[in-house]
Amino acid sequence: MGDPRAQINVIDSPLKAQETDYFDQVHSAFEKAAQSTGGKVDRSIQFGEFIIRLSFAGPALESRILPAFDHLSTGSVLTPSLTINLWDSASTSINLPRPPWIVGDYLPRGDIWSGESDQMVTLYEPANNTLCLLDRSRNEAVFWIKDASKVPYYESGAPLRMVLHWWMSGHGYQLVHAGAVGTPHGGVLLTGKGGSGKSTTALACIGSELGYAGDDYCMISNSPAPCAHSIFNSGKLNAEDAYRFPKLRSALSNADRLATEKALFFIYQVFPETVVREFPIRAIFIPRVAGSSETHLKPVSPVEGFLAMAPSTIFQLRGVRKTIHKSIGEITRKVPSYVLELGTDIEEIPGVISDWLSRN
Amino acid sequence: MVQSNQLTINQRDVIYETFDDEVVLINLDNGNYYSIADTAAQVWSFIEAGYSVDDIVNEMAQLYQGGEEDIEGAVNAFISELIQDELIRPNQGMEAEGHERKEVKPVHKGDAREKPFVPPKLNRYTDMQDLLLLDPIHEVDEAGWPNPKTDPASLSDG
Repeated sequence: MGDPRAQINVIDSPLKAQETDYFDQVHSAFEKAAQSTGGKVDRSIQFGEFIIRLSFAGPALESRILPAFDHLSTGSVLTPSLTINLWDSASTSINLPRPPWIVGDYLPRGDIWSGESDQMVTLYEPANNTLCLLDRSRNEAVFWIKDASKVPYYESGAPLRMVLHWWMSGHGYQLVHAGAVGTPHGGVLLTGKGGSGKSTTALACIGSELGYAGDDYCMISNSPAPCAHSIFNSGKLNAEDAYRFPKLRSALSNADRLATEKALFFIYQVFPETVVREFPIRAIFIPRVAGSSETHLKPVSPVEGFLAMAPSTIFQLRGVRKTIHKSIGEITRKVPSYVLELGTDIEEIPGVISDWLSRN
Repeated sequence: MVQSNQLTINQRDVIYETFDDEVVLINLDNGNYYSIADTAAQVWSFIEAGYSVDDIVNEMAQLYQGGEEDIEGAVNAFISELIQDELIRPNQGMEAEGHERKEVKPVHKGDAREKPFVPPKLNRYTDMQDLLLLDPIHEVDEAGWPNPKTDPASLSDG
């Protein structure tokens, strides 16, 4: 099979109209699913100036989605800028409507090509049995999963990130593959590909004077100045590394599944005072595991910072990818980049970061 | 030798960011990304501005110290590599029609003519390819959805 995109005229793609119709069908199915479970359960989170309503069809998905957003919860349901409707088929007995597209319309990872139209973005992820649709003109999205009890742990840690990426990128924010630690006066992004030490660094800062804004994903904005915004209060570690962080034990959410999952922590539930919602970005730190016991900083070029953050962000995310590099390019030009050579003594890490922040 | 004299950036799949005398290129389709600096970034700036291969060779020969044949050979080899990695494409159509080109500034600060020509180099990074799972969708289930082909655990976070 050739490139599916070659088979479709992007400008006049019939898929665009089909996606709009299909969004309506899926939305109707969501309404039926909500009725079947006694009605919608609405929750609101606040991100920056935006209220996002999470409207659940029944209770099955709440516990899988909400903990990562606890720090953003408004407590009451407010008028939303974006509504995300969430449902699953297993608990509601309402199936997804049959899709209008065919095999040739799928990109290799399951994306459904729509030319990334101004209005619609659609993504089916076969491995997780999830479907996400966003209609930008209505500021409304749908998230479906076949079985709420099978939400993967990494989705619970960073839920709805594709929908949030699609919508936020049109509202001045960019989701990036980076952790973030700092105080309300300033902090650093922690970036690099998987296994580089982002989570170790971010989670090592809990209990220090540095606040926690995420270990793997956060939002950035560039106007008027570079700023990091926490979107998920979760953190993850390889199970075999979790023993090095005994203070996090009470925040561990999946102690019974560590044979097959990474250790997933929800920091806000246990350390609410340590989660910081946003701060100015003073630098980009690129953690790298070094052999020595001490942790050091080494200045590198803006290109190094860009290479550490842009490709891993772009290839982790799906859809709406052609503008990501601009936000990251802008920030890497505005703040300095450093390699953070991680020593074996993790207690030392927050001090190195705090020391740099106090001097810059 | 590059077959077509006119070149065009693969705008559908390639995004790039320019930093002074370096450029980072990302191919969204195959997961590769690249950094180019110095003479390579200078050649890229000419391609971006719509210069033909012949014009790029001539401009590079004026900008840098070096034998014209050496410069021509190295620039052609570099352009061939860019084409092979689908970062740019030969564009026969534009050649026939004529093509407007933009002004290009030297990427070097100061006078590049004092600099000896160094063959342009394409630094290629392939460590993101595993995130793409380039296995096309072959079949759908009875409800019309693609079958999972991948262990979900392998899709987990970074």
